[in-house]
Amino acid sequence: MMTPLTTHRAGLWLLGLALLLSGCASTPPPASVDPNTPASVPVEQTTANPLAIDDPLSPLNRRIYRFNALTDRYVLLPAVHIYDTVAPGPVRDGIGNFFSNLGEINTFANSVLQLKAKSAGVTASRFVINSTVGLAGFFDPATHFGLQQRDEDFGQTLGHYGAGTGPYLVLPFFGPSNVRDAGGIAADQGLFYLIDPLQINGNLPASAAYNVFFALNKREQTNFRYYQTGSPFEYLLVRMVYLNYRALQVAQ
Amino acid sequence: MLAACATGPGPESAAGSDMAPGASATTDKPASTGNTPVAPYPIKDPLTATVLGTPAELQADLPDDAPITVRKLAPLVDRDTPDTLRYARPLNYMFTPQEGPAPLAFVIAGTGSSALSAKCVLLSRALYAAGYSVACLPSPTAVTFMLGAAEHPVPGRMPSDVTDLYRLMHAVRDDVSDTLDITDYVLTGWSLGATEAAFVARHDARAAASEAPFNFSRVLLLNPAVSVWDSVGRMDALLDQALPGGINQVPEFLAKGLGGLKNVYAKDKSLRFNEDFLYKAYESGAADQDDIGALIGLAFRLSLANMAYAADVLTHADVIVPEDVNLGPYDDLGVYFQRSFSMSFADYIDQLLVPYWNRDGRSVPKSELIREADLHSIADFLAADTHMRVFTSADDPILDDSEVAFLAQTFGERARIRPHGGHMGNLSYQKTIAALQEFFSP
Repeated sequence: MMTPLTTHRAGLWLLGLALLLSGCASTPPPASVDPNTPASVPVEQTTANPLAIDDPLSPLNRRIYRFNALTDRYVLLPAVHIYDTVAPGPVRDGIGNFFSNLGEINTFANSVLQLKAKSAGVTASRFVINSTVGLAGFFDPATHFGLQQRDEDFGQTLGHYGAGTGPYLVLPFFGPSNVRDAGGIAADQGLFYLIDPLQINGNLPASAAYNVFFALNKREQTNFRYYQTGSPFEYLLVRMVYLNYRALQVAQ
Repeated sequence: MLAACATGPGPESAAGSDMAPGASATTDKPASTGNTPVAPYPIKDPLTATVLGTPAELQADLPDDAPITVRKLAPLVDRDTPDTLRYARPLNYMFTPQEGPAPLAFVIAGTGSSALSAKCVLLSRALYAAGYSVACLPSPTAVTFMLGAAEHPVPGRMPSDVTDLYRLMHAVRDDVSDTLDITDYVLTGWSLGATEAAFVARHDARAAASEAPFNFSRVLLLNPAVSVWDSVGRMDALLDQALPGGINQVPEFLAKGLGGLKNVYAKDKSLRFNEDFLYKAYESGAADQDDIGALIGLAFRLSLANMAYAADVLTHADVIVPEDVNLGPYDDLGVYFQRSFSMSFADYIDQLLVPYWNRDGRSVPKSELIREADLHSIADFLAADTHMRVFTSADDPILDDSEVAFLAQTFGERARIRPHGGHMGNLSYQKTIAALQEFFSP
């Protein structure tokens, strides 16, 4: 049987993760995040064992990890392959920009919540420019104007105000997370539902189409393959990289 | 040997310094791009080159229309899969077919790399563009190979690994012969895979007709190890030097790294975490020389940890996992990871490789294992085989000066030895790919 190996856009953090995990050194080294370390301790001083991570749900997490890997292999990747075949590159880029533009709503809200005025301003400007000049977000002229995209979510907002991560979690479909970030995802989704920028609440076919394309786009842009690291320790490595990556994002 | 390093799209450049004096055995042919002169490979420090690779604007511009696929093979050896290694099935290789009659190129991956590594993609694209169908094979040191293709799943004994590779290549030929019209065979490999390619070529040249030899018309060795165990010893030393506290210092090293990166973040709020990140971190001084060395050493250690763990489990060696422990697919591997990761290459030889080859009626002394994995042992063949070339860097950190000299002397005109590039750092560089494609031009 042949499996497609699609090409993906560069520039995604998961690419970095995939590189590290494929035994490669061209990724920043993650540091340790001991969940018991008070948030006031600078990250530089946390020298706990990077593997000593709070993961009491490990047996369940590992099962969900495998479930995700199988779902990826038998559902998501074949679907993405069809998507890649049917939709030409520029169309997929447009769809990627479209979802990225909608994502600015959450980035804006969380920039405001963290009192990051510049990030909020840049994000709002990007949203206005890309929604209008960028034809409903299908193009991204704002980046060409020098407005680089920011990255904030409610998990980061909680972290910003000192909330600990809680135990490590692997969420079905969403992948690596922790209690704090899982709550963050729920809050961000809730906000999006409340604002309903596409006016699709209650419209079942439209919601379904939105979710299908959201998932296809997300997977297409994520350069990570389960078990591609070839390591028997992949679960540990993903856990370590994820938690440290999130710590870095929160610190930003 | 570095698994999948330094092929990622690289940094915005530090370009433009003048051409360094040549340790080159042959003069550089101009890149096929023609009129515009290509800036020389810019990274003069070998370890940095190894980690960072080639800046984006100096990378070969390869068409991405190659029909790259991944194909599964049935296991070539009869073996029960331990639950803890279930993830490593099936045995895969990367396949890029031409339409119509074409030669087939085999590519052997470097240490720890499966057939899905980024370098497989790069070389598949380059060879496809040169008119070849391409089959990229996992390294004998990859867990998937050990599980599905290795008769003796403790990688490191060259003749045994070469026999396994040769069998795998025949299986691949059988697998694609229905759909491909193969006109000719060529062979290449990088790092440890290059050393193995040399031994495979020799094996093929001596094969009887009944073995259905491939009669490779061209063989290219990309940054081979000369004495495999000396090379990995250098990687052990690199880690010892960069992290004097040994493996116990790793947490501190990681924390320091994150601290440095945090400062980079603080300077540039809009910086995204992507493939330019490390380069910016490096430019800003967040990573010093020892950090770069430690990163390379750690990358090797991770490959070694994977391999040692799998070898231990598959042969019940009782070194990492106790014999009476039967690990399930969902068991916590933390303690075994630490044990595997603490192993140096020297430990691997003494605790896993040598004991395996001296039990169950086998008896191969350590000195023999070391001698077998050395290109010096087939120097006459290498010197006489005019179809074989070698590309490497004079500053490749897996080689010492005498080994570089050995390659230059043995291959003579057939060696392309650039002054800079580290270990595979300049693989995706325009001139390297152009020279590769020129060598393989049908």
